[in-house]
Parts: sequence; C-alpha cells; structure tokens
Amino acid sequence: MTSAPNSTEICVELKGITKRFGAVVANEDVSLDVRSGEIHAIVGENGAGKSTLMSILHGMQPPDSGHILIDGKERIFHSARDAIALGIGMVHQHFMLAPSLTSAENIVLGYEPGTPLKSNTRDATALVRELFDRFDLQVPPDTPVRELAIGAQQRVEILKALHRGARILILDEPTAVLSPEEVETLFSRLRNLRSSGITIIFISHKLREVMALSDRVTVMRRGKTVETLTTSQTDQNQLADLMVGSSVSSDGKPRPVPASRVRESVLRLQSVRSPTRPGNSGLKDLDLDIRSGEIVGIAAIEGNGQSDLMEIAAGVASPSAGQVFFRGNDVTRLHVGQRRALGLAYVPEDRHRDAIALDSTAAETFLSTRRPQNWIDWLRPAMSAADKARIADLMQDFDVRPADPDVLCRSMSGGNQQKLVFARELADNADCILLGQPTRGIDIGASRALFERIWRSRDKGAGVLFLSADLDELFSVADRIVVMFDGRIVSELDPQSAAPRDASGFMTGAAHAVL
Amino acid sequence: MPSFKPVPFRLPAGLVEVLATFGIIAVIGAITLSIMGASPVAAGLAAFHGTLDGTYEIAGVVALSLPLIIVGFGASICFKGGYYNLGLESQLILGAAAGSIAGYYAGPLWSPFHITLVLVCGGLAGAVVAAVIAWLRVHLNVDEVVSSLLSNYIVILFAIFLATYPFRDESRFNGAMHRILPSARMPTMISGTELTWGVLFVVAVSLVLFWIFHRSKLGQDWALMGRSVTVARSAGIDVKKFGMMIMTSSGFLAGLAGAFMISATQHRYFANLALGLGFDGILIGMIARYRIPAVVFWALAYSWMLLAADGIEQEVGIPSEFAQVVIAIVILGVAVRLGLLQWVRGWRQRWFKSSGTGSLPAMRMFSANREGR
Repeated sequence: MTSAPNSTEICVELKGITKRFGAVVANEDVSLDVRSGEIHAIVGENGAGKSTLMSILHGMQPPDSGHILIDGKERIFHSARDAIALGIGMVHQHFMLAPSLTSAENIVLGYEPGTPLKSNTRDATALVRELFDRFDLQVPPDTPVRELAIGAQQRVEILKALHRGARILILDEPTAVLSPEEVETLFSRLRNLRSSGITIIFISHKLREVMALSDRVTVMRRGKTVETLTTSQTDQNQLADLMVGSSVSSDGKPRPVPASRVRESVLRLQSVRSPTRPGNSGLKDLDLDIRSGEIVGIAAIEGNGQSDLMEIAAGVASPSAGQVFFRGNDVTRLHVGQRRALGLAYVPEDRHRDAIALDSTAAETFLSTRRPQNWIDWLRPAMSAADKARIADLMQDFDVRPADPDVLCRSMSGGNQQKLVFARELADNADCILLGQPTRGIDIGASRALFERIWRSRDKGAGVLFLSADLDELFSVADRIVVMFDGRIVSELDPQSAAPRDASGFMTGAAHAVL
Repeated sequence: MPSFKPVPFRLPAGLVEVLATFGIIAVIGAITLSIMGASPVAAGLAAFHGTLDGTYEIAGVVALSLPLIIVGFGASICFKGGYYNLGLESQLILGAAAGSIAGYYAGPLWSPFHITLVLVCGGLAGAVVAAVIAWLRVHLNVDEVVSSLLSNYIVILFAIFLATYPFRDESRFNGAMHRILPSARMPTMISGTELTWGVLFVVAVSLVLFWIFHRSKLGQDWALMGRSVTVARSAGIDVKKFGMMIMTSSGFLAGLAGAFMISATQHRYFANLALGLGFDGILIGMIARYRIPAVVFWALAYSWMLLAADGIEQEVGIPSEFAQVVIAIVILGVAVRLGLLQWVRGWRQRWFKSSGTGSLPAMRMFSANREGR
C-alpha cells in the first residue's frame, strides 16, 4: 500500500503550540513532528484545530505560545513569506488563484522570473514547463485558470507552492472538492512527489483516504493532538474512535428504509435548460421528479450541470427554458424567498458564496431567510428576544459551537458554519429539502446527525434532493440515485442493488453509449 | 451564596474614540501652530470663542452641520448596502437647484406645505439621477463608482445651466436663481443666527433612519446586501430591486440635503453653491463607519473644526486654509485608526508575545466586498 518513509529525520517539529481566538481555544499545547519525505496525515473533526495549526505552521498567524522548529532550528514566522522562504508551501481548501490569469502566470505570481522592472511570459512558461517535467504534474500552461476543471486548478496550486521552493507541502482538505477519479489521480501524484523528496502534510477527515495515502497519521480532538500512529499499524475504526473520543465506529451505517408507497410529486422539473458556459455544460432538457418521502441523490462530476439544477430547483437562478412545479403548482417565476415560504429548504453548495456572510452574526444569518410579507414587516424589529432564545436553542440542538447567537460567523469553524446553515434550513420541517454538497468540510459526527435528520424528515413525507461528490455517502443515504453527465440524466440507479462503481462509469460518460 | 466580583471601570469604546480624536487634533494643531509662529494657547482660546462660547456660536456650528448630517446619511446607507454612490456631490447640487425652483415658482403656499414641497422636489431630483446610475449598474452592470463619479460633471453643469439661463434672476450679475418665497423658508429658531427649526426635521430623520438601520428587518437585509450580494440572493432578497432602492434612496437624501440648505439658509441656488459638500458627506459617512449616530457626531465635529479654523484666522491670523490641512490630517488619522490599531497590536505581539486577545476585524476598505457582484 504505502512504502515506509525513507528517513526518520524530523523536518518539522511543533512544540506546545497554543492559540486562542477570544474565548475560543483553537489549539492547546499541541505538539507534532513530521519526518522528511513522509506523507503525514492530520485528522480530526471540524473545529478540532487542524486548519489553525497549519496556518500557524505556514506563518499566517502567530501562535500565542509554543515553538516551531524547522530542521531542528527554532523559527519565528512574521508572515507566510517567511514560511515560504524556509520551503513550507500550502494548498488551501479554497484555492487562492487569479481566475483570469493563465496557469503559468498563476504559478509564478509574486515570484516571477526576471527583474522587478522586466519579467516576461516566455521565461515564465519555460520555467513552468520545467516544473511540469520535474514533478510530473501537467496543466495547460496558457489556459486561464477559470476555464480549468477543479482538479487542474488544484494542480496549479500545488505547482505554485513547488515553484516557490516548497519541500514541505501542506494540503488542507485537498479531496473535498474532487470527484473520485480526480482523488485517485491526486493520490498517485502525491506519491510521486514523495518519491522526489517532498514532505507532505495532508489534512483530512476522510479516514479511507488517510488509510490509503499516508505513512503516519496524527489525530486531533478539541484543539489537542491525541496520538500519532503509523498508518500501517492502525485501522479506520481506531482512528474514528480517537477522533470522536468515544467508541463510535464509522461502520455499520443503517441502510435507508425505502418509502412503503410512492406518494405525490413535491418538486418537478420539466424540460429545464440552462446555457452552456466554460467549464459547465449547463442543462439540456432535463426532467426530474422528486416525490414525497424519497431522497434523490445526484451523482455527477463537477461542471455537468448539477449546480445549475440545484439553483434552478431552489429558485436562485431561472431556467432559460422549461418549468418548475412545486406540489403541482408552476413556481418557475417565483424566487427562492417565495419558494421558501411554500415549504422549501435550500442548503447552497458554496457556503461562503451563498449561504453565510462572514460579517454577520449567527442570529443575523439565521434570520436572513425570513422574508417580510408586507411593508410594515420591513420596519418591525429584526429580532425579538423570543427569536434569540429560539435561535440559541436550535444552535444547541444542531450542535453549533459556540451556541451563541451573537457570535460572528467569521470566528466559527467551517463545520460549525455549515451546521448553522442546517439549523436555519431544517428548523421549519420543510416539504422539500435541497442539499448541495452538505457534508463538504464537515466531520463524521455532524454528517451522521444530518443524515438522521434527513431520514426523519423523509419518513414524515419530505422530498429530498441530495447532491454530493462522495459516492459512498450518496449510496448510503439516498433512496434513488440519478447520474448526470453533460447536462442530462444518463442513468438512474437503485442503491440497494447497485454499487458506487456502477455510477462512476456513467459519470464520466464512458457508459453513455450503452444507454 | 452570590459572589460579587468588582467590575473593572471601563470607558465606553465610543467615548475613548472621541477623546482620542480630539486629543490628536489638539496635539497636531498645537505643533503646526507653533511652526507657524503662533501661540497654541491663544489659538485654542480663539477656537473656543469662535465656536462654543455662547448660544450664537453653538447655533452656528449646529446650523452648518445639518446638511452635512443628511448627506452623510446618504453616503452611509449606500456604502452599508455595498453600493458606492460617488455622485452625492452633484445630486445634492441638483437637489438645491430643484428646491430653489420649487421655492420660487410654486406658491406662495401654506408655509409647512411649501417647505415640504421644496424638500421633496430636491430629494426627488437627487433620486432621479441616482436611479439612472443604479439602473445602469443593476441591469447593464456598469460600475457605479465610475458612472456616478463622472455624472458629477454633467449634473453640476446642468444645474449651473438652469441657474444661468431658464431660471435666472435677471437682477443679478452671475448665474443665480430667484430668492425663494418667504413661505418656503424655514423659520429661524434663534434670531441672529442661521439656525432654523429645520433642526427638528433633521432630528426626526435621524431617529427614523436609526430605527431602520440599527433595529429593523429592512436594515438587516440592507446590511446583508453590503456583506455579500450572493448570500442575499440565496436568502431570497430581490437583489436588483434592493440595489435600485439603495442607490436611489442615497440620491434622495443627497438631494434632500441640497434642498434643506436652500430652505434653511441659502434661500436661492447659484453657481458654485455647495461645491464639495457632497464629498464632505462621503467623508463623514466613511469616518462614521456607516453608523447613523456616529454620522451625527462626526458631522457636528467636522463643522466645529471648520468654524474653529475661521475663529483662529480672525483672532490669531493663521489662514483657515492652513487649519484645513490640520483637519485633513486628523480625518486621515481617524479613517485609518482601525488599521493603525491592528498594526500596533501586531507589532506588540511580535515583540512581546503577549497573550493574544484576538484581532479586530480588519477595517473594511473602501473597495472591500466589491468583487463577486
């Protein structure tokens, strides 16, 4: 599976790192050592402090106390530039790329060849091609980044770090945005990088990936490191236990109970179209019917129209042709606010773009979807004491930490932000629930809690549309899987009889001709 | 048994801000005056005599601040909503011209009605200009920063044209409109000063806007528009309608400020009236960080500084233009105070590694969150 690290020399050592944000302790007395030339995984639930620890290691924020030793020497980082100078590179979960610049330009950005007054594209392209060869990573150098697929954009990020001389590469949840095939490609490339001497720190909460890729793994829980294990001497169950802190195993998920009888349609899309754009196929005469009491899973690779489908179903975007029916009524012309009033819940795919404004408080985020019915409602107080108490209760109920309605979203971890969105959308027992990548960036415990709620709503008669990039998750949660390719539905699978492997053929279009 | 912890005495943050600002004014003012060869003590006394020593002087400060408060509100609410209407300057001037026309050609009417008519006409004139810019922004994606900034030339020259040709008072040399009828003038509150009962109108506007922007649902959604348009859209807000509303209402307030000047103090529009006032309002909105009570405070502070400079010029002989340099430095200091605080704190952390208390949210730069719209 994985080869043993070729040396036991320690290249990164963190000792007693503590970091507080106000009253929130993100890291408490964390110690970590990473050997050169290994793939070191760091796992933990949301808010366990993984990202904070890595941003400290990358010099983006100073620790309150503790020491950072690189190659045995204590270092103090004043900015990310100091860390980069020592060969520490980072690939963020949200890519930091200029969409209109080409791959080559993005890779050399800030570290261009030539003098400050004179730098030229030809040198940059040559340099980038050399990088491609050296690390066996390929991207089209002259294509603007916005036209690249997510996996290629990630390679641009990795190449950017390598161009800056990184020999220690930190990858923050790199697989969260990738399709199964892209994950495989990424892993084989990371193994290649390891053989060329690059040390990789891999942050994840997907235990299967950690088991497949890493040499050693460090488990974090509630801001502390729990244990560092050699991957070949542990298993998923042990890691899950360490992460959660109790004997909760990730195995043995209950299969969903299919609805006893098929009931009336909740949300129906009829011949819906949306325009083709770079990197997005749009929708091509798509028909989809979501019935009461069923969970419809959508399996598709990024850019095959599933995002358009979600937005059109929610009423955030309008289709260029076709109609949307909610409980038999034509709602094509109604926007998302009006559809929410009819009983629709919508968890957008991109949390920071669409679901949460970071400068809002939790309570403001919660109340933002409340739509005034007439003009006097606009002038009423935005929040009553009763509203606040209810929000605090719901935050408790959905395990949002801290459960304080006045806390700024910016200071919450990504997983807690997402749980806040769940609390907002699922509090009112909607008839139709649209979930766009709901478990992206959240931990096993929170995903399980969400699925329990979804199954309960389904059993009460809600229709659910569930979009996820994780096929295992789709197959264990949904009652019916639709596979999309190039803006069309190419296949429908029953998770009881089919396996994730069956879907991936349709997702890439390989099995398209058979249909 | 309940335990009693002594609560450490702390000044409210707003008060600290205010005291620090005036401390800075005093220090910078004293230094520059010394360089100019004048006595800072004499100048300080002159500033006090000119602005705060007596009802007449205080009334002067308040009267000067009233239009600034209104246009400051206009700037605050549009920046808060994430739109940058830099045409407030010309919208204010067109509002003054429209108010001036309504004050002379309509009437004489029952005075409260006539004053209202002047104010509404001025507000509508500003709103129409802003609505055109907003429409271009919302429907054709024309950057409103550029279009509103450039619209200033067109609209101001149009207002001057109105004063020079169609609505000119023939008895006057330069382009000036007729003096508005007495029924369109606000009654004086303290005789011998420019302070009118219009102050009550401004108080009422402040209270209403305070409720809307700091308490109501409308204000919360308005702020959400400024924080993220895409989140607002997914929350069900009609972002096009809201965008139109944000720009148009800021234009209305700018026009209202212009018409208020006409009805309260100037009584006629003439070319070059109120030049720069709209930009002063933008400045005040930004210093106040879009908070309604802070706009009132900073507009008062700004007019106090202007009049103090006049007082110093008269008594000590330092040109008031020089005092304006000091004002500019102070305002720059106030505007960047958050960034400065953070910078200082960063250095402290670096050198002393003190226990962190978290960092202030980075000051929202002028162009923050403009991307993605």
